[in-house]
Amino acid sequence: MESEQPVHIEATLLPAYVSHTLTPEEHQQVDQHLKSCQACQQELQEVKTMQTALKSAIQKRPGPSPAAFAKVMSRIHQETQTTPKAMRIESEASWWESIEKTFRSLFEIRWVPVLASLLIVGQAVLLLSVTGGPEGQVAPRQGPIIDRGIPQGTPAIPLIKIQVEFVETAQEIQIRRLVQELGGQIVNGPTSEGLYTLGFVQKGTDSSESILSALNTHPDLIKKANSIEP
Amino acid sequence: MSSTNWQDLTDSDLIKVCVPNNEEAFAVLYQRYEKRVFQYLMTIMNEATLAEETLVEVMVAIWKGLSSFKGQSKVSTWIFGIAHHKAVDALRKVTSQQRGGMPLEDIVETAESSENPLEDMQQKRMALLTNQALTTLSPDHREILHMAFYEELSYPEIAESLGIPVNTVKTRVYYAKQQLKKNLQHQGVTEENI
Repeated sequence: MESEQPVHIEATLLPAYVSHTLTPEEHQQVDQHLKSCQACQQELQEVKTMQTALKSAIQKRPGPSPAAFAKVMSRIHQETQTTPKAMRIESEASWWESIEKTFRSLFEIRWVPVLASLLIVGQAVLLLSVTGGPEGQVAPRQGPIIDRGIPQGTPAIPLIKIQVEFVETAQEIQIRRLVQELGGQIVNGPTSEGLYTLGFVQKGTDSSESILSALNTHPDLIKKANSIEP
Repeated sequence: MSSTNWQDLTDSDLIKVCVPNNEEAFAVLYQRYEKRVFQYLMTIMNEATLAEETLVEVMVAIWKGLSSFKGQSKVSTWIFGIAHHKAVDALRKVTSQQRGGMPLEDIVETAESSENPLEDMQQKRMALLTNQALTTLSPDHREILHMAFYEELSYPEIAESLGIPVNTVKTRVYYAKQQLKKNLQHQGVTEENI
């Protein structure tokens, strides 16, 4: 338990009331409530006092060093110069290096999930062929493994599906960490075009827009993200 | 368009000018957000060197993502969303205890000489106590108070930046403020002397 519960729901709106960021309807609701609630009037006073103290304290802190901008631009220049250089090296590469590169790409980490999925499917087929052998030997006859876990007719969990193209430099571990952070899972991919399909269980006010917004705050990893209509 | 005109542009129009690779326009955007993002990172990280390193990461990510910004949200919401994720990444890699930087509670800019040195001293002391009270909160509470009280972002904007529901924002702001009040009271600060 963090602290005492707010006495009224309006108490949680007071910081936004002070900064005038409530909708007109909410603002009016708080106005009305304050007329008759002494506890929230007191809370309003505290919010104003805390805000003044915080603003004053933060404003008194120094800013970043003047060198910060130069560091940013240097990083940007470094990264933009890396690409053409890499391309130049590629064009000058020998035929042996290009063969090596082709084979190397086959073993890139992005193929690991696909390979793992294929192995799982292969095992499932093998298992089915063993357990579902000649009739009479295995009783009673059961459906495919995949049908046994969730009973037929169980309502499907609403899943928001988003198709994502990651930047070429994104590593598998970064992709997985990001998906995990956002509470989603990789449903499919990568396709031959490098596209992933991510699934997010719909919770509360979650919508494809809110998930897309969250994904778009990672421009260093994500090139493009679109929702897939169910 | 000259750089003088860029100063007059809204954030979202400025981003359109920044694409593709307009470094002068980006410098204007950088100036607008440099201190805001840095202070936000300082509130969360409590350490100047780490905050500045993360500021660089945030700004480089903004530059790389300029063409992907479609204006679906406010520019500030987008930028604070990036800053939040970069801060989480940086904190995951390193804890402030492992670093030798200057902790937040000790950082208050030296007051410039003024006509009322006693008032300056009191203000400086209050800022110090408030920063101390702030550092004893959890990073989540520090972050949400910064966004709601200092940046004055709306609850839906905060929710979008942090990727949490609006109702969570409302209650988290409330509890964070209660905790800050308690911490200030422990330090002998009351409403009257703020």
